Amino acid sequence: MTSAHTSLITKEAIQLDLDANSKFDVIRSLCGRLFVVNRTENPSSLYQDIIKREEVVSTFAGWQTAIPHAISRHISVPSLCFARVKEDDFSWNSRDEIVRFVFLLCAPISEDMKRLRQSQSYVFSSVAQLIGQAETIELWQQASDEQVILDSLCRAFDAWQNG
Amino acid sequence: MTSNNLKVGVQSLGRFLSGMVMPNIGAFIAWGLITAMFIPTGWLPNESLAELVGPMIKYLLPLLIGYTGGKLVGGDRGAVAGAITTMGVVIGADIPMFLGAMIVGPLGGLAIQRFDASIHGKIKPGFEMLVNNFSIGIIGMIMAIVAYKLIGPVVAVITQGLGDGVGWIVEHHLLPLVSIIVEPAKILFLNNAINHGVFTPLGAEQAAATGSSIFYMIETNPGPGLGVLLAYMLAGRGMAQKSAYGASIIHFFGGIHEIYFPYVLMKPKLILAVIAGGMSGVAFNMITGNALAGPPSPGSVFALSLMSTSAMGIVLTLASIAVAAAVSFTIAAVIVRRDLGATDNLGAAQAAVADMKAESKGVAAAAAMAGAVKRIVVACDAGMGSSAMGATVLRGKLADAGLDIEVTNAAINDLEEADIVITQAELSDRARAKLPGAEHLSIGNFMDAGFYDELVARLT
Repeated sequence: MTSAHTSLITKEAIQLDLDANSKFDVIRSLCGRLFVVNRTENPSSLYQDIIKREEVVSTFAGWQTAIPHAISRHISVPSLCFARVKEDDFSWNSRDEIVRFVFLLCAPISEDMKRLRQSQSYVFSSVAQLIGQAETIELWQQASDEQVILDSLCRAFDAWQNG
Repeated sequence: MTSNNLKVGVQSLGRFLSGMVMPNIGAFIAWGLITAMFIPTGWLPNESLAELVGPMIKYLLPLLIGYTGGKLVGGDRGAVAGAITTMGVVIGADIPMFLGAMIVGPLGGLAIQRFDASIHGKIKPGFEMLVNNFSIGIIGMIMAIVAYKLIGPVVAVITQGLGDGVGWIVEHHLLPLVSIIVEPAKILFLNNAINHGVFTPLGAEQAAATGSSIFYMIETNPGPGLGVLLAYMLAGRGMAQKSAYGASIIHFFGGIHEIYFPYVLMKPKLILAVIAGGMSGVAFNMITGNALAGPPSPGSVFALSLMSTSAMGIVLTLASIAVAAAVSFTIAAVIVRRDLGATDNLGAAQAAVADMKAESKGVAAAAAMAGAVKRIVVACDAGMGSSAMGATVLRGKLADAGLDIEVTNAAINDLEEADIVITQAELSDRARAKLPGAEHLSIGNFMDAGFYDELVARLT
């Protein structure tokens, strides 16, 4: 499936069954993935920016989902990563924050921050709709190919942007 | 207009006035301290440092209010336009132009906001900065000229009218009624114009004949203002309550009455308290025959005591302050307390229960009414993560309920205009400081459907 959103997320930015013990492991791993796909030259600093945002207030979103994100000078273009955590009982902060799916969104600092924020809001707006759909959650849980996840996200982004 | 709509209108106006004044309370306190300490009759007279007093009250404080008023309406660009416009009224008048600033600051913001809306999406790439800068420059210039030419003369007419009104009351021996004009005029920062333009000349004339004059005690009595500040201290809540302690010291001991004016502007109904307090003080002095030998400046308890005619005079002067403060406090406390526990006339019990229920879930107990809510902003730190998700959920629920309310998401730093702002509890203080005029609700998790269901039910 082709989509206008390939600059935001690619198949390589999707990780299935990520083995992680904490949210720090997940975020570190996703930052490394952004380095591999040439979206950041400094994954360590990018990680710090994301953690800094995480410390302001947790990005646990409920519905087995967390949405760490940051606006950082260490990312070249707006980029989204997806991770499905391997363990069923993985928790984001506390025991009652069970997370299976992690969406990491990073956007570069812009002169017009307000416009940047508005332009990227569709990403998590779409995610908010997706995680409320039982069939989508089931699809993500059972997917064995990253392309399945990518297609479901791109379809949602297209639908959102087309009104 | 129904009484409900009128009430909503007054509440909205109060929130708007509060939004212009509260962020600048610190500047008022700084000015009050400088004045109380360094003017010739202050605690530590210093001619050089006292030069700060005039420019701060004439330029800085009105400009800050105009800037903030513009920002409330038109964001950062509105703030700049508001400040430019305010300069027009500042220069156009001899008195501190707070009233003018509160009118023209938002107008400046509105002008640039309307312009921005009209050209949205029509600027060719590369010309945005040019258009942005010159639009503020040109519109600001026009607004400043309009403010200079129109608002200044209007305020001069208001001042003249007040002076004439006081003269008529004095001539007809209805002196306590003079508070009906004096106290509201003080709140509009016309206190010096009234005191020095009307009462000081009248008092000087009377004192020359009898050795003392009651006119010196009408505008300068700190009792009414003290009563309002005491009401905030004992019955208020939040920043207004906390700052009232310091303000009362500056007001009562320093004699800087301007420090309490913003507290009345935030709740215009408190004008009744200061009028009643002022009338009581004047009536007390009329009945006891108390008067001052000269004009107390500033209007502090010390200056009034020093100007009292004798030992008994000091007792009577202190008593008149106490009477005025007690009456003002009694009324103000009722108003402040009632506003805190605001329940909406018709289902009072129902609303109270809903508020308590909302509080238990971290929702503030404010009482916005459905008809008054036009825009809800879900805000977070970055403005593109949790808030985007929350706005999506709320938008869907409002649409399902058939409510036509705009829902957007934003970074807290970008908050500009909203009737209700929703933030995670950890961020609510920041949001409140950024947009004090809005109702703020705290949410634990942005995807908490129950929270949105309750909000929608309240707005339906």
